[in-house]
Amino acid sequence: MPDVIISLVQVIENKFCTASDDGEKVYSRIVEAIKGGDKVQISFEGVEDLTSAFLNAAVGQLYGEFPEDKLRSVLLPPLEASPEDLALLKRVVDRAKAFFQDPERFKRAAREESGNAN
Amino acid sequence: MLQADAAIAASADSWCDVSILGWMDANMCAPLGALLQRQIVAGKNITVNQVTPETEKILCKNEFLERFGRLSIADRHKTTIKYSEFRPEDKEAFQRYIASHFRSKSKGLPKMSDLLLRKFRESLFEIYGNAVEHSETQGGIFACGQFYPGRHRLDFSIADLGVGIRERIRRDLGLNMNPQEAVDWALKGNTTRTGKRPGGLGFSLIREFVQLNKGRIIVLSDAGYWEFAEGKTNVLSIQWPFPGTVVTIEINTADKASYRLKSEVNPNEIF
Repeated sequence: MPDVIISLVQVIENKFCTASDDGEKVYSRIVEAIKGGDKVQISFEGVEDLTSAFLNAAVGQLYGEFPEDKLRSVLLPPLEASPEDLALLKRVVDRAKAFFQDPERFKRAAREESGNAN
Repeated sequence: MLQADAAIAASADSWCDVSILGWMDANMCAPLGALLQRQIVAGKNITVNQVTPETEKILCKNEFLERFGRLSIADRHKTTIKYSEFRPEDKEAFQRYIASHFRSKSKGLPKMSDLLLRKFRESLFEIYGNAVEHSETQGGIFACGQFYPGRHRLDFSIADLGVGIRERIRRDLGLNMNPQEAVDWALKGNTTRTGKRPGGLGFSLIREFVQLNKGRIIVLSDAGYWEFAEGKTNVLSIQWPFPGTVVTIEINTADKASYRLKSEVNPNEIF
């Protein structure tokens, strides 16, 4: 059972979950809940549109704040999420995990690909 | 368009007359509006006096020429998506604009599946979000689109007057690339983000959507031109750089392909 249900639409007061600054508002709520010792369930009820930019801010950056196993234990399966919402969230989470495991890897890959390798 | 822009910039005259002789795809009002706005901000007085009649009608229907003193014409068939300028901080205005034009009950919208429509809207939000986050545009963000019912096509362009992809990469990562390398690099799903928030998925998602839809995406930034259609990428250097970035997405509105996922994600396996 969750201690806290965080509704995306209610937090940002908007059914368009598309802007990263709105994602930041959700992020702040989730961080506050986790630091308060709560288990969190994110609700997608009422979401009309959803972007990776929003989810990167809302959820992706959690992986820079908390260890992966901590998040696995406190973030419960999302509520009212369509299959497409879940698929996008999964991609964002997987990318965030890879990013924070080795942020320098992304920079190195960029340098190598551009031919600017050191 | 870019060559004319360079000529206006180089001209010592403060009054400049722009002519549009020939057909212009209406969504090109986005980059054209951006270029002319830049000239206006630089102190030029811009008039648009000669326009081919067929083009003029469309540019009055989409309200672009209203900017230059022409009266708008009612769009009875509702095939135009109004030319609009946005400030980056006003995301609600862009959301309202997209919602008004691209919901299933929007007037004039061709019959499209709900999921196709949602994917298209989300692509536009991703593009707009990129302009807000990365461009540092001081001159605004410009949008315009057009339906072509007979061809089952919907074209939409978003332009900004920001630093461009090449300069963004140089500033954030210290990498020096030529403009077409920079655009190609960015569109492969790379990101300039190095801070506490990951990124780089937006264009990958749009590309996948366009691939499934058999549409097209074109990105022009500085002198780098990048086009993706029918599974093929074309990257070029152009002679006249664009002072910012333009993204154009063309979709096939008759697309009956399923956007339903082949396999569903287990909600217990997300985090």
